[in-house]
Amino acid sequence: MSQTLLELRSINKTYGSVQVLHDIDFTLRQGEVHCLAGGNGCGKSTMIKTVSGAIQPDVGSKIMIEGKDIESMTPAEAKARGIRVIYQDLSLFSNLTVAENIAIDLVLTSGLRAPSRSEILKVANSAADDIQADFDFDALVEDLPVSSRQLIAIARALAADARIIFMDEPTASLTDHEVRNLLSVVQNLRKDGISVVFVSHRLKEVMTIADRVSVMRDGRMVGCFDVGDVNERRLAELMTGASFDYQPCVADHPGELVFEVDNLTRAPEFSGISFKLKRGEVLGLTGRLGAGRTELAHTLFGMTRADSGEMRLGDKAYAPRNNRQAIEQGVCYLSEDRMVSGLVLDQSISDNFVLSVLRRISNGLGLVQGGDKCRVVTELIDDLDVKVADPDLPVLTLSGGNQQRVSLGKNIATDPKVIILDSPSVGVDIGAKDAIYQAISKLSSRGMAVILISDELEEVHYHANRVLVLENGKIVHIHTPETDNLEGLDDVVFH
Amino acid sequence: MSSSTKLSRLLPTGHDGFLLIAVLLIISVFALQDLAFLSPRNGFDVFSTYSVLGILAAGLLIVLISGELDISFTAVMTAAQYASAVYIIENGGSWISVFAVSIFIGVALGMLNALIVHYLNASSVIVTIATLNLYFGATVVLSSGEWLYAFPDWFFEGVSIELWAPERGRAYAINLAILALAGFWALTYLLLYRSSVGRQIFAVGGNREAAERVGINILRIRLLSFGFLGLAAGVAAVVHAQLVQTVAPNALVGTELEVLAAVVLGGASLTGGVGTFRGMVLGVAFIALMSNGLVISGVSTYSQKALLGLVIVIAVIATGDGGRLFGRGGRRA
Amino acid sequence: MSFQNKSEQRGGMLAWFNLRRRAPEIAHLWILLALGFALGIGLTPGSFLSSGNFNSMASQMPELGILTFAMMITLMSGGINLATIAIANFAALTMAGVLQLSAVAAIFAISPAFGATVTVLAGLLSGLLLGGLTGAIIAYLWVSPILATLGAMTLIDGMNLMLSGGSVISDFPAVFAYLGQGKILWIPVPMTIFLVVNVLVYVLFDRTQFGIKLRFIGSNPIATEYSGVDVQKSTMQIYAISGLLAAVAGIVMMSRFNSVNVSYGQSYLLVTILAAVLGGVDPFGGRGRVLRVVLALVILQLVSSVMNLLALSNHITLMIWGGLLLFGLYFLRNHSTR
Repeated sequence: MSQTLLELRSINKTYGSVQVLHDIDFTLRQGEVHCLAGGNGCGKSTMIKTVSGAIQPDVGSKIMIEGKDIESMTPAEAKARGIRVIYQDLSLFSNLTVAENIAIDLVLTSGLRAPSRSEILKVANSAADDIQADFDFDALVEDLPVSSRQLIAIARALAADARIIFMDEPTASLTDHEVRNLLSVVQNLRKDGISVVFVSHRLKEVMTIADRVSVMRDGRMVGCFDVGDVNERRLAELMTGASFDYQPCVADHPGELVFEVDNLTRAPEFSGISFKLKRGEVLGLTGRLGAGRTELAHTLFGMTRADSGEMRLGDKAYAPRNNRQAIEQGVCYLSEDRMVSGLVLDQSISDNFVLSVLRRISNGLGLVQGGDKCRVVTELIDDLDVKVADPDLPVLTLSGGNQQRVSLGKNIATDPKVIILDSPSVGVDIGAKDAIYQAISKLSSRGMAVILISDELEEVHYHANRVLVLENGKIVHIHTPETDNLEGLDDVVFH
Repeated sequence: MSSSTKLSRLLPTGHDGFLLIAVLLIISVFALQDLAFLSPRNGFDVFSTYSVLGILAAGLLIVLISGELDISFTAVMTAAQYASAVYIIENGGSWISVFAVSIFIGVALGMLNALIVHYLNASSVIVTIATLNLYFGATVVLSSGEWLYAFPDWFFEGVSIELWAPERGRAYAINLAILALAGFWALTYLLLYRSSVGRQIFAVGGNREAAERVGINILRIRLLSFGFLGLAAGVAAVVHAQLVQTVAPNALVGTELEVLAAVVLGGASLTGGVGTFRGMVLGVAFIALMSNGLVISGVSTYSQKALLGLVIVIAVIATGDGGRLFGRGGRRA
Repeated sequence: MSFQNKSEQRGGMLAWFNLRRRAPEIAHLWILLALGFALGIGLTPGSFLSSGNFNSMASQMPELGILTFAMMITLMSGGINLATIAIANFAALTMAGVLQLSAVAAIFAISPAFGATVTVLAGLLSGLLLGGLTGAIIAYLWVSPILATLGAMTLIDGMNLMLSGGSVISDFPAVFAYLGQGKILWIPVPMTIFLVVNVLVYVLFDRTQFGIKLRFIGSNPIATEYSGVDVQKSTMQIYAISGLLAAVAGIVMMSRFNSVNVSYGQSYLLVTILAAVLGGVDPFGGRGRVLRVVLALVILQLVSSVMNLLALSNHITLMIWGGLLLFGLYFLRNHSTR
């Protein structure tokens, strides 16, 4: 039985009049992999920031490392104790090389002189070996894909002699190979006595790797369980306080053909893609990361051009040269990265709603018609059940789930024929996920065709009429939830 | 900054290569017009005259790499000039004291810029537009706008390390300007590439939030980079005063663009984290040779201004930031 | 509809009275306004409250105000336009040049009003084109606004010097004197022009789709592009309008002095940035309210006239502007959503 390395007792955090953390208790054992699960806004990030010293908890909160009480945790103190946090944005320096990023701590400890190239390489090599990663140490980080950056961030934590590593959604952008790699790396860390706390909504991975799982909800610790004592369904229930029982959806009255893709190819991303989409149909698109789904979506949305093949919308040819044309012709795309691509956070909710339909609510002179704008906004708020006190407030005042709804609403406002949702529930807690699924079925019952791209097999199995499985850019299988079962889909995707 | 083999470090490629070609082009064009352009005499003169530009460009490079922009350095220079000139006119003084006073003022005002930018958490462009006027106004008010020129003899004679004397004409000698330029450039190189602070400056410019998380003290870096530009202003102030043997209120303010253009041409990005010493040198060479060539060709001052503007516009288009809408990177210049 | 037109319900004058409650972020402006008045009345009792003083305050407002709008629109988009004064002077020079064409002289002989219109249109067009060209360089050639407009400023200033030979150009037809010195219903013509521009700019920023695009581009150009807005085209339009406004200011300046002096107005650049920032325009983009900027302008004119009456030197004035700009940034910090 390994000893307790880190203990949090009665952690409270209040911002003004809002209490964000209530009496959090948490323990971390040496050499343990401990998962922190919880929906958006449950307080996970705040808790991590408390431990890393980025923020100070309220008086009476106790943080103890190896039994010793830490009076006040500062970033320097946390570093000295071997606590390292890998944030979701990875916090890398894209203008520096891989080696310089991994060995960045040297810059702070080497005194006046800059660390020499050999010193840097020594540290970088050692860290890379620890995780069996193969880096081009001289490459600039900005030239590397996200998957490599994840590994560099982890290498950096290791290079800094971490004893406790916090990872925030570490597998978000990794391919399966790299996920397996990462999980085995984490196992190895365990042997060296390093403890890992990671935040992940991928319950399947959690079950695979965690020793214990702590569930948070609404700023409270709901419970801490040995992984053998829970399953995914139970975890989901604990995280939201509700239980979800999905049934595969049946394709009722599919309408006429609205979108057709014929032998679409864009080397090397995808090739020979063909499918037909009917009004009111929900088409799932899944496959392992790197299979080409998002690249296909980009071409469907006009952001990139196909090398060959045809697309048709209704009876007209569809070949958008940019995303503006795609929107005009009735195709919308909701990117998973809603922060960057979907919403402008410091502008008002109502302005965000109408951004894509400005021409429709303005008259010839460009003047916005107040009545029209109001009507569009109210309809969308009602339709999507967005919880908003005052639509003139900036979007960032809304919760994550509500923000996602605004993003969806903005797209719907254009009355698209086809809406492409790319990982719409990533980073959204389970309660809000459900709202999105309801919105999807509402949209499809109204005749909109939906393409649902997702990593999560359950998501497409339960909410799409048909599922296309992509592998290496080609469609390898068509799954029909009505007749095929989920395990079958799992087998096809993960062999 | 990616490392490279010895050979590729000698031969600039890409952006720097383009600039090198442009510089050679300028030299050829003006040399064709008047062969005197290529003379060693002119070469030394160019180094002297544009030493101020070179020193300031080196200082500004550091600030740009750290992710900020400071356009108040001409006002800082003016203040430093007045302070040090008044000091040696009234007290005699020496090279040490004139540089000491000037550098003290320069660094102090530079660091003041850093403090204001840090604690107001504001755009450094706008802040330094404000401080430019503050420093400039204060200097003129305190000095009553007087022109100063009654310098001590040693200041008038300057520094002269003779290299060789031809039969006719003046000897070729290294003067104060060239010394200061060489010294300051060496210091800049060391700071950028051989000091740990230099690496930290690149990091802060590349991703300020990540730098904070890693434990880099942002205030310290700002004090250092703005202070370094202040140091450059202080050194350049003395060099400039020695060259023209006059200190006047309006001599310097208004010439910021040349320095900025030189550094940006050299590849420094306004969003931070990007810039090389070599690029800066080439950029300074470009601007210096261009201006010098125009003067020798007898182009009128009005046309010079227009031509300089045109050249800068073309050059920044050619070396455009590419891919970043407006070069916006959050809270940076 | 719970939120329907909340702002419109409390519209018009009532909105002003609610300003304190609804807009605490310009509390500093009211303080400054009161301070300015107090200083003025306190330090120069006789002269401050005279009509002569108010007249002279009002005389600079139009050109300064319009130049501030030209600066404001680019600041709101997350950029900046350092070439506004240069464009203003260039527009005036264009008009001077056009007036020398024999064709135009002929038109003047027939109808001075028509001739003036043609000339003014030429001036406006020059501003629009220069602004649009700068905007195209920024939008389509990926040059940062600071560099592009700094380069443009140098180039255009240089051209102005070359074209005018550094001397002042005067002797404009009488009709321009009317523009500069005449009155419409007891309000000087330049002020009328300013008020009209004021209304137009307000409508443009607050009530048109262009205004929405402007703010969004300032806040987050990438997300705005994803949403189907042609960010590049809009950017070019933004700078074109900025150039157009600068040209209007140039025409007003020319009419007031009945001459063109290309080195005039250089100090205005700082004041326009100052007025915008004091008026709550965030230099990082995304925010800006016309009426607040106008309030800031009034305050600056007040402060400026007090300084004139006290016969303070130009350089003390510069220091005060610099200090006020820092003051304005301080208040922005406290009310920023970032």
